[in-house]
Amino acid sequence: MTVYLVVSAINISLKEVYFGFLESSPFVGFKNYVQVFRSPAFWNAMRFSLFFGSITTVLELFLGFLLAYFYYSKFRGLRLPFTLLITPILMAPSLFGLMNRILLNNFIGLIPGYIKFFFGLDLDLFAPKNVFWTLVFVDALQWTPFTFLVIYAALISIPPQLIEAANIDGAKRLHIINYIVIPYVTPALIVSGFLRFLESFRVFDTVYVLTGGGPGSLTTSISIYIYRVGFTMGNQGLASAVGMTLFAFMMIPAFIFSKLMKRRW
Amino acid sequence: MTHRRVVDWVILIIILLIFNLPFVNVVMTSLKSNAVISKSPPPILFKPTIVHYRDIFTSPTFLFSKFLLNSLIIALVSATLTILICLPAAYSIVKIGIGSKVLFSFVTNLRAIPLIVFASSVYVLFKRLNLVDTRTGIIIIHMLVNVPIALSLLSSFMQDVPKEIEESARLDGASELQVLFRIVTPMISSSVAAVFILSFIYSWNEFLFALILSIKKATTLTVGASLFVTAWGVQWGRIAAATTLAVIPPFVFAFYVQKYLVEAFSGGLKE
Repeated sequence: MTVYLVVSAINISLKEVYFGFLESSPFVGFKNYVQVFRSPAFWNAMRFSLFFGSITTVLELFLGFLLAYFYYSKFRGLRLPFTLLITPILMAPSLFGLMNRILLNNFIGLIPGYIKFFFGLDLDLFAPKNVFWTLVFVDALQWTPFTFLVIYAALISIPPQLIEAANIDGAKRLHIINYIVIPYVTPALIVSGFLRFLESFRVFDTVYVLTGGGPGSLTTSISIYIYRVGFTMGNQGLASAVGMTLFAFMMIPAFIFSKLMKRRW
Repeated sequence: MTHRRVVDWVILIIILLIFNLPFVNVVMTSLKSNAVISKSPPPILFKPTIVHYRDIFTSPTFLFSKFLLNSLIIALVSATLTILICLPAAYSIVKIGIGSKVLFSFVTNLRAIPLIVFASSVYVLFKRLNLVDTRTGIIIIHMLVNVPIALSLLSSFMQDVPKEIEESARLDGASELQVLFRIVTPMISSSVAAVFILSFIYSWNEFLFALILSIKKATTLTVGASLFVTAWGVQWGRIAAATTLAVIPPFVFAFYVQKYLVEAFSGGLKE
């Protein structure tokens, strides 16, 4: 099935297909690909996705680690707060986006409402200069619990005797973190970081419901771009060409990723 | 409780509040009357009303019940079929011991490749097969994603079943199918349930393909709720009520699948 889809995507990308009508579509060779590489919109979307993916990954790893370490050292084993902490993972990203739209919008949003009430500041979180960071905030709010979950799982696998022994030997907290905790959680950091990057590079749902890729094309991720070309404009030939270009680009991280997962940590 | 312990708890509660703020806020908004919603700043204390919940079910322009039914059917059928396909498949993989390596790299690659690259080819294919805007079409696509993950999870669970039990059953004259469904499946029933639930949650939450493959008839709740925003920009109360109801089903299962979440979200891979 996957092989079929790749072949069919390549086939479509070499033709001029509009609105799903494949039968009557002429063969145009690499015209679509030339158009992809020449299109500034494509490169803008790639830049947005790379930037968004990197920033959210680093942020979520950092916050996830802090949170996991805090929970590990103070509340280890406690079930209820743990469950409450990871609820965002279970929500559909599109619905989580909608909730944040209700929370953050200018008219009825709780956050802008109280910022205005306390500080008298009229803050438009979806204005061009803020919108990128608003999306980063929403992504971090939903997926920091995921990095937390993975890192926490690694932390509880540390043999407690190891830390006790270090304590008895008079090791400082910083030393324990450096020489015991960090080596133990490094694999979890790498794996969850990779997963987060792959996911937030291709972000679609959250952006679609929060900004639709706008204002203008300011928050158009590569997935939103493919959707716009293929379904808003109905140019499936070009959309498939963008898709296949992306597919080729993603082979590199995919290859590294499958090597990583096969390695015994 | 010592002084420091109190501080720890306060920090924890603030963190919990931050991560759950979008949900708490949407529940509050859904219970406010339109007059209360438009107040600034949004009041924390107010007289709750269920008018929006009543409206989304009764209003003829708001197809909430239809979207809900679509979501339920699509998620239940695709999760059930996933399990029915994967149980025998996993059994033969574990028993014969081939294919697991191929499967493994296939699953990891599936995680890495954004499915949107196939959006247009799926659309063109489904259009030719008349599957656009049908529940069957969306079910097929959700299974395409769920089957490899479920298969790798189930095979790893089956590997933990002791060989001796299967063999003694076979000596007693049980056929392979009987061994699978009478002996092995009951032994890993809680894992099978977890895989079912994870497939259900994925299907329930999926947005991209549900969006491009539905026009009117097969629209699911996740897509439907987002349609309310554009079509009903100012009806925040109804959007909030619809969103609240739409996130509840995965919550109900949350406790049960908690310990499987790490594996499921890393594509069914045991570290």
